[in-house]
Amino acid sequence: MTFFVLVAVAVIVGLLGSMLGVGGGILLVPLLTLFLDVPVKNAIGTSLVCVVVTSSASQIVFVTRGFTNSRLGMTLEVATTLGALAGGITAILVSGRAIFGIFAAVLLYVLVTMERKPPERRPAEPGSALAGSFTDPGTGDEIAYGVGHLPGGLALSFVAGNVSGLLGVGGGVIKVPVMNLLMGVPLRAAIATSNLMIGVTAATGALIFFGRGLVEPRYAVPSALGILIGAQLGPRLSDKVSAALLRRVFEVLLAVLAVEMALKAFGV
Amino acid sequence: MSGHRDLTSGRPGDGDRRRATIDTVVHHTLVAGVATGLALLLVGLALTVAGRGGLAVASLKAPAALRAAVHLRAAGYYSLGLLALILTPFIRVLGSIVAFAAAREWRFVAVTSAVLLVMLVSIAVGAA
Repeated sequence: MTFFVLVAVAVIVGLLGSMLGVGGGILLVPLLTLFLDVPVKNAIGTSLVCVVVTSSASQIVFVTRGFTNSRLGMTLEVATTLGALAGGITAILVSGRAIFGIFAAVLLYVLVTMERKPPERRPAEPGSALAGSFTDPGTGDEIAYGVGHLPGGLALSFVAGNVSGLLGVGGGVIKVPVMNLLMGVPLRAAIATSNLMIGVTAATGALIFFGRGLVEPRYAVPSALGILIGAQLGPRLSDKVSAALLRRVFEVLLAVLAVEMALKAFGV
Repeated sequence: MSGHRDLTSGRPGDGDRRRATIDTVVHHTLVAGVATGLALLLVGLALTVAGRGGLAVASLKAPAALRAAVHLRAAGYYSLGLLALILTPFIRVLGSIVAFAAAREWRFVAVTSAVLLVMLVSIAVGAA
């Protein structure tokens, strides 16, 4: 029975995540801990596996479209994997209540960034070794771009990796704005490159959790299968559902989960 | 302009060809990793249905999982399936190193090797 409930929850998370372009971890960890009584560290281990699965599956499509900047992704991955390593070790050492508190803060951050829609930054001038290009599918134009502010990008990528390893989320909500707004990478390339990075970052954290016995098949197997089904169905259903309504439902869900997680942090 | 299309002629340059090679390697690695992981999980579920062990077990380390899989115990397939999924990005990073080396992009061979090293440290931390 629990198996099918977990599959159903993961399908919904995969659906919402893929339709809204966010990782499933931000919803999966709270839902597993608050409503299915999964211990928080096991929920994080489960979520990291799901993040790896959804990232790998969507990269299969992204990478063939030529949007992903592998050179930039791998360069920033040095910082994100170090962050994930530190985050994973921290998650093993700190109390569950501390994790609930940090998670509530991250949920609020995501809620705020969803409400605030900053304008896309003009692409940086091409010229560096990390420069990339892709063909805009809408116009057919060749978009060539450069990459600026690498030190700042590396520092914030470390933070994104740290959040991922600590809380079991993808960290795309940090990586995409960093690449787009700070480094001047066009949004389409930033999303695809962030997706590439999310899988590598989450795998770094997941390897720690797996080794520590915190990736339990009874939670991870149904969740991984469910989220993959949801992530495949999401893009097919997205035309049939009002994007505004979906966004509003997601925001309400995030707000409720943030309050619930904060209450857990205070032992309520 | 290495890494870009030749904008004056519109023909793909060396950079485009190298990037296409890297992307192809990455694509095949991801397909193989996800397919292998899912296949192992589904074999595990089939064995559970056949009464060869349930889901309510802790994940096994790789050697124990292999032994369990040889004896057709579901636990072995669940652990190997999850491990295959988790290791897919790891293999993908390895593939990228090979692809960058084939393209003689030594700077990115070094950068990607650093990523691989951090992932190896995380395996060691998990096992410690």
